[in-house]
Amino acid sequence: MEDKTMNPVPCGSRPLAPEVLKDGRRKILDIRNLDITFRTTAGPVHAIRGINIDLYQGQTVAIVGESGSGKSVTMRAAMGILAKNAVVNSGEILYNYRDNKGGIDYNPDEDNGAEWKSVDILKQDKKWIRSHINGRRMAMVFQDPMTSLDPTMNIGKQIMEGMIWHYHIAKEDAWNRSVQLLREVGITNPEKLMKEYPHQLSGGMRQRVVIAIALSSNPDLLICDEPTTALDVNIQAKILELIRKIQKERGISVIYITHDLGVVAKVADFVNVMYAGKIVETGTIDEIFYDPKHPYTWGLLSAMPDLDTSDPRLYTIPGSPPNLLHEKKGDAFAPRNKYALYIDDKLEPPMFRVSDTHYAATWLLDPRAPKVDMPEELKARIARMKADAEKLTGESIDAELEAKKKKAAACLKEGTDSESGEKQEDQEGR
Amino acid sequence: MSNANAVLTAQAAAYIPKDEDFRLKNSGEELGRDTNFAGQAYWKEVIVRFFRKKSAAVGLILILLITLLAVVGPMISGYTYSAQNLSQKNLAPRIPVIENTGVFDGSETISTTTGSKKTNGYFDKKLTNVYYWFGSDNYGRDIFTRTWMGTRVSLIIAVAAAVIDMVIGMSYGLISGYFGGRVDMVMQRILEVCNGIPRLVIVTLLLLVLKPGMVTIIFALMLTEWIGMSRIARAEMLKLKEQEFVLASRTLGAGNFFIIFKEILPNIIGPIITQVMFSIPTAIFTEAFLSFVGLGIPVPQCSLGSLISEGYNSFTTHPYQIVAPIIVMALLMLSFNLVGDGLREALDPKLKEM
Amino acid sequence: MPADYHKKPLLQVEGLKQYFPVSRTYTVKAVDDVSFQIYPGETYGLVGESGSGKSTIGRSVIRLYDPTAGSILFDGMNISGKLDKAAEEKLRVEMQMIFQDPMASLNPRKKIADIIGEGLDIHHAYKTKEERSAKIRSMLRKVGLAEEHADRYPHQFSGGQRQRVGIARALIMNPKLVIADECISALDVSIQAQVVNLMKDIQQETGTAYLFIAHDLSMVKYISDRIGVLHLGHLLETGTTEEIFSHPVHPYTRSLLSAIPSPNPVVEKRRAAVSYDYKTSGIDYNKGTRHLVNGTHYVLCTDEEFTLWVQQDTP
Repeated sequence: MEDKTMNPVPCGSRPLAPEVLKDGRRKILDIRNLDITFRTTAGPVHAIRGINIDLYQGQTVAIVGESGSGKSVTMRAAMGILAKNAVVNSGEILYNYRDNKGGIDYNPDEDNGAEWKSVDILKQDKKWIRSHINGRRMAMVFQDPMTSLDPTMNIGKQIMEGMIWHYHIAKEDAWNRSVQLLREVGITNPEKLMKEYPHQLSGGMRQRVVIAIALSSNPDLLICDEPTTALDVNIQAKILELIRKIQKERGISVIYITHDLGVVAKVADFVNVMYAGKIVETGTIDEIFYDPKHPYTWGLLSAMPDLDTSDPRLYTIPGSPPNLLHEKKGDAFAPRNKYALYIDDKLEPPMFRVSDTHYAATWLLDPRAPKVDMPEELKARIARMKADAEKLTGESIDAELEAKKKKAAACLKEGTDSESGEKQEDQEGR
Repeated sequence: MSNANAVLTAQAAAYIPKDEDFRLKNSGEELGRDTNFAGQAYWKEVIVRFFRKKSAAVGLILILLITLLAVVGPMISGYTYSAQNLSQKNLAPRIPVIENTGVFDGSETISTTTGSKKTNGYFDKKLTNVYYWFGSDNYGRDIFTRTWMGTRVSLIIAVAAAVIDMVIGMSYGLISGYFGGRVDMVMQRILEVCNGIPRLVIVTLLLLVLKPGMVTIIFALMLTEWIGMSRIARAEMLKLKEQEFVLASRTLGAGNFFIIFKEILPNIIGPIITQVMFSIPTAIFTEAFLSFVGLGIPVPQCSLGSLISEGYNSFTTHPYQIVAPIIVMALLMLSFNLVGDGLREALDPKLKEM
Repeated sequence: MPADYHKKPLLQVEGLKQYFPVSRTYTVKAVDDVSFQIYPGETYGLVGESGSGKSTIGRSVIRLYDPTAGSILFDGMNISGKLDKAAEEKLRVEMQMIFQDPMASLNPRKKIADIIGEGLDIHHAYKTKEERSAKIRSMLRKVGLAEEHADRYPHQFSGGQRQRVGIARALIMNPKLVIADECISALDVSIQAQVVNLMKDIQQETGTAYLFIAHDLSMVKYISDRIGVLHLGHLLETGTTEEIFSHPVHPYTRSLLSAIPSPNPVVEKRRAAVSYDYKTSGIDYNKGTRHLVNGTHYVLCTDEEFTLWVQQDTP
């Protein structure tokens, strides 16, 4: 897919991220230039190095990266639950919300009268965040369902707790709502389950309960930190399908933190690839998977086992993730990059614009750089992936992707345009 | 937002890339070498963390100071711990130079039925060149010398307790925990029986066969002092014995005692050292208690406990006699506790940073 | 060095049962009547969800557990039941294990050189200090680590590097069989690929056989010659990688295969995984017997189920 309009030039950090999209959806989370260092006994660890993330209503954004890339730290910062030894050097995390005077049944889409408010999570104290944000507007689903449930409390109590704490509703009401929620997450006999304890449930059931708890206070934003890695493969898919279904029904936004590109492909609209505390590539899901530009993304995609080839060897990214204790000059990925340039050791690459929604931080996109294409094996693989997709949809995949891309770009542009009334999956940019 | 293309990052302005920078490095072969590494040596970090905690450092300095004084103290005052001089009994503390400031000049206030009066024993007896730094006791012995002699006893007890803890308690716990099952069951019941007998009863019974003295006290400690340590060692062992590195040793054919002492022990040395530090004050206190009730060190030898006991008898008339041993004892207990606390945090950083 | 299927099997597991008594009345049947063979130089992949008994099989075979019933023949020697000195020595040298958790499987208080050299130390497999250190250094190079790493401690390494150390420890004794117990599941995707490639390279060079235990079918495909699918302690289906991936017979195998994620968003978003629930499926593993599909492809089922499933497979 060669885009004629592609003009990769270095761009500022956030060119296109309006507060309100053309289709009327608002930005609800806005992480700007976040920079975090941890003080450790061995020295300062520069874990987050200036990242930007936008999230609109109803959108699913994935943050992909290896362990230690800073993806979980970013989300902890957004939840206001950073460890004590973290120092925020710069940046803000703006959370936009409307006061839900309507209590637990409040629906942000209907209540147009209320005013939108914006808070910087980093400036609020922990107590305020606990009572206003955590569990009420943002809820988190953690990796291991066993450790995020209280083993001494029955399921019913754990679900009702949040509702009663945040909204002061009556116990019977909370009970009925809990049963309803459990049904929503696909549990067939919720009344019985309410009285059971976490150890009586299987891993998949527990994760469903965790999701029900997260939904119990009607959040606007769900943050899923590796929600399926502790589960078995055939249950993983079910849980992802469930989260996606709930998101569609409720119109909430979801952030996925994961290292598994298979999960991303299944759920996300928009992808941020993180490496060593920086976002190295960002774009719509199609752009990242069918037209990746950063060598790290190439590596990640190639390293996924491919069931369709008889190639006996897996592609790997050589070396191991950098140790953030020893900060490197220039591009942190350069020591593992087959396509490293001399400039990579001297200067950190800025974000280059590929399209209105697609940016990548690699000097390979500079006009002066030699023309380097993705590895042949990956090219062949993407061609095969596209062919599979065409087989499934029966349409030309390139045309479809192009149309999607135009729509996304149009949504970001300012001004009035009547044709974008239709709900749109992928839009965002910086 | 059309100006997006023109915006350059601030960094780009700092270094203007030249055209020759945009060449591939072609470093294909070098990439295979994995040279990343991190972190410092474990013990270096422990030391840094230990000394960052001020109370622990103070505790350590105090222990060293007290130990030093226990070694040299009895030699520098010119008196021996047992020499009696009944003509110089019950003299208040008098220290050269400082006496000129009005404190520690040998004067004391004696309360009688007719009211209190200030006297100076040295002056009364015309002992112008005699100095008892901490005063003298009822038999005219130098309390300074006796205090440090007593501290010696306490420190010997401390070392004995540590050795008992390490040898009996640790091994007992490790073996009981490692083998588990029936072995563990029997060993734990024996332990409970030992723990069930009150210490005072044991010592009193021991006195029937042994003379009071250091040996008896150490024997008494040996019977019960190690129980706490064995529990800690057993708990740590239960935590570690199913760890994969232990299984790895077993699949390599390592013997049981190799695994216990070479594989697991180095990993639990932190909690063990901490426990030793905490059990030392208990042992010192036990000795003091036994001496205080008269079951400890026989006269004319002394320990901090027996000194306190003696001082207690003349507490109302000559309170200074009890002050020195009590302060030394308190400092000793406190500093062992501080060091233990500091070590616990230094060896197990998770405790603090959670 | 390709696997040799005409030779005698290197490992022959027959009717292995591993029960764990929880209380007087309740016993967990972690592994129930499992039989399989591993030939010299091949990789046998054992796949199943957590709790399926796959790790238990590995640990029973290497005798970290005492099997409840069944026989295990390793290189012609019986290693089930009570081990005599010769069997013990052979087992501890010629069969080795790579563990799951790169954090927990290396002793944090030992230097890398001593971890890798532990087997040498235990079995006195060297004459001089220089010989020992030379062996350790060559092993470090083989797994892609620098020689100067020998004097460092495990916590100074990343997860992938530690797993390499674990591999080096297992391979220094030149084992005939290595049991890899979920050895890649705790690693990042790009590092998983490194470790799998490394294991394949080593197999090419030394001809060691692997029992590769994993829950991730896609990685197993890359390394295994043959695969066994395990569920609730029963071996449901076994065959060559080709047979399992192209013609899965058992519904459980099919559901596992359908759940493998692919990095293809358009396809992935439209696909729903085949669900499988043992309780509602009406299948009783205890009633099943081994049925030969073809070649080396076996499936555990009753006769009726067999005809039904094979029909489904050939449309």
